[in-house]
Amino acid sequence: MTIDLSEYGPVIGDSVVASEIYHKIYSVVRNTSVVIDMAGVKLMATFCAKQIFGKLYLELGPNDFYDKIQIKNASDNIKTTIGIGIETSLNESKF
Amino acid sequence: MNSINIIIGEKANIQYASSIIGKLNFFFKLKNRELPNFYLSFHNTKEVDMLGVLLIYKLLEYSVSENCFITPRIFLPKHIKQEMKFYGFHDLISELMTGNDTIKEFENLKLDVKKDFFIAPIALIKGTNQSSKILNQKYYPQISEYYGYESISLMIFQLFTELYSNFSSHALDETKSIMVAHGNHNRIEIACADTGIGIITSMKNTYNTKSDFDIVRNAVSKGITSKPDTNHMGYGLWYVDEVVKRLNGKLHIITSNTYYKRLGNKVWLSHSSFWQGTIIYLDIPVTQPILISNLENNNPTHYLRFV
Repeated sequence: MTIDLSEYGPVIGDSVVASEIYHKIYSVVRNTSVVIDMAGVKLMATFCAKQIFGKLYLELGPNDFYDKIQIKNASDNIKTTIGIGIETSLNESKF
Repeated sequence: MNSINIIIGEKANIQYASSIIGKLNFFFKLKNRELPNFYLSFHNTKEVDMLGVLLIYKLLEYSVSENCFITPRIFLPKHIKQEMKFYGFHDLISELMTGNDTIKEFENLKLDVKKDFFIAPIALIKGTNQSSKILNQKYYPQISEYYGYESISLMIFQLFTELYSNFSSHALDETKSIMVAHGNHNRIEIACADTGIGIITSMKNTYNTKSDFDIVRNAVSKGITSKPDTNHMGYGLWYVDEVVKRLNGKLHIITSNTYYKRLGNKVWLSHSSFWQGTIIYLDIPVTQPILISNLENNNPTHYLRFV
């Protein structure tokens, strides 16, 4: 299944929106794999990346997260921001 | 009956921010005092900039919402009113001084794009996605078109959202605040202010660090947040600080009694007049974009697949 985040773009920058996206992805990925299309997203605030992808990573665990989620059409900036979100969640979960 | 008469000096701008705060911060001790006979005049004030207008607005807003005075009298000369209009605050302040609810004026704040510059007042309304909708549907398309260079717009909006996130988290019971930007093809200045609990109180509770200077240094460091178990990450102010540093810009952060000032590569930490909450002002050239991907070598492909 594909989830297109265009409706939330081009700037994903507040926690209400990030929460909505997280719940949308999580409700699908519990049952099946998902491709998240970021073509319409130009920018994501760092706290939103943590709120969405960092939280998903911790919730699903590294194996399911890797197996079930793919991201397409993400710019280098979006990729970096997502990576920061995941790593921060991971670092905080160790304490 | 005793009266309180305050006359603000010649300059109400970033250079004199600490002085203005020092003259008016007694407001923070007057919550629910409903003092009569208060008179505030700007008749001596010749220069006011965007930050000056924002500070005046925030202090007036505090005094009204917290019932500091009964029927205060404020004198704003014509040129100050014009500056307030220029930055989009005039109607907001008018509503405030007549005791009306300002939420409608917040919702009416508008981006003003002219040939040589734009003014972008942004209402930060907690708990809704309204600010996000306005940014996406109105501000981003027009500011992107104004600059005509996507990376510059992305840098500006990354600054907006990271600053917005900080204010949302530290403002506590404040439900609305304002960020304002003034840009042209060479530079952009962005200012935001709240009267929440401030960075120091917020981070002290988490890190139990003794020195206020250390707390503010930590606030602009990567990965240090006042809220480690929440959505916040400690990258927001670090990104803002790094952009200012690399572009040889200016950054002023005033929070509680501490003043962090960056001019290019140089940083100063000093004591300031007390401000309840946080004020952030930055001024950068927009000739070169600095995005998160320019600052971090993070490669997330071992966490997930990109196609």
